[in-house]
Amino acid sequence: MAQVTCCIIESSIEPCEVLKMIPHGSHGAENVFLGYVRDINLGKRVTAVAYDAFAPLAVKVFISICEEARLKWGEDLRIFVGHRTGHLQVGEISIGIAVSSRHRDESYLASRYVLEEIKTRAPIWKKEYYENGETDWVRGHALCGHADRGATACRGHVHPHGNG
Amino acid sequence: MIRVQVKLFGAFRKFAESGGGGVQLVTLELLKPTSIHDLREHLAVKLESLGTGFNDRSLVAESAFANEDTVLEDQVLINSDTVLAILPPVCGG
Repeated sequence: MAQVTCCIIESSIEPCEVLKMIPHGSHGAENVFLGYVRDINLGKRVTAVAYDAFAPLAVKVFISICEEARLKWGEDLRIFVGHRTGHLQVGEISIGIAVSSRHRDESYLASRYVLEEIKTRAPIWKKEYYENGETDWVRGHALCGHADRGATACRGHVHPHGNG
Repeated sequence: MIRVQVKLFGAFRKFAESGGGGVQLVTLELLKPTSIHDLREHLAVKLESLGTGFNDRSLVAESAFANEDTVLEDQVLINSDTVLAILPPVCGG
């Protein structure tokens, strides 16, 4: 089984499938993060969301982030990332991340790193459907390929939303 | 003439010139090699000309061009026919 497995998923993410992705006998810890569609964002009642992705690049970004995590916390880490696309109802899983390591610290730290980096670097977009019938593409983090000031300046676009 | 097909995602999708099967596109025709920086202006002008309701230049300004391998920096020069994607600010997770 590969050390890093990353994918864009058009059908539902099942927790038991995420758990099965990375078992390894020499690892004493597995940390699983599941992000769910929440029913409220910035004071608006959310009824559903739709995720769009530039899949070929998104998977490459996932892999790069996972490799960075392995450099930081150990090259024996095993990591799975699966991100949904398409229409999701409130309560559905939007992202599953599983990290296994020899000891627990590395799995916690790497899992958090992978999630936070995906939020700011992966070409994925979320459209929210609100209770009042309106919809909106959530304007998150600029990818900054054009910015003279670099990534730090562009991350000023951060909005306080998302899973977890 | 250099022909650049630009795939649209997220908030850009509804402004497409053509598309189907989950892919929405606009096509830019360039008279000379053009930097990514200048391509952004070409895209904004094209989107405004389509009559599909585009009027948000700030969205273009905050967006990045990419191919299937990487996000392209401003100074990258487009000098032959290609397919790119325009990536508005991202919101995964």
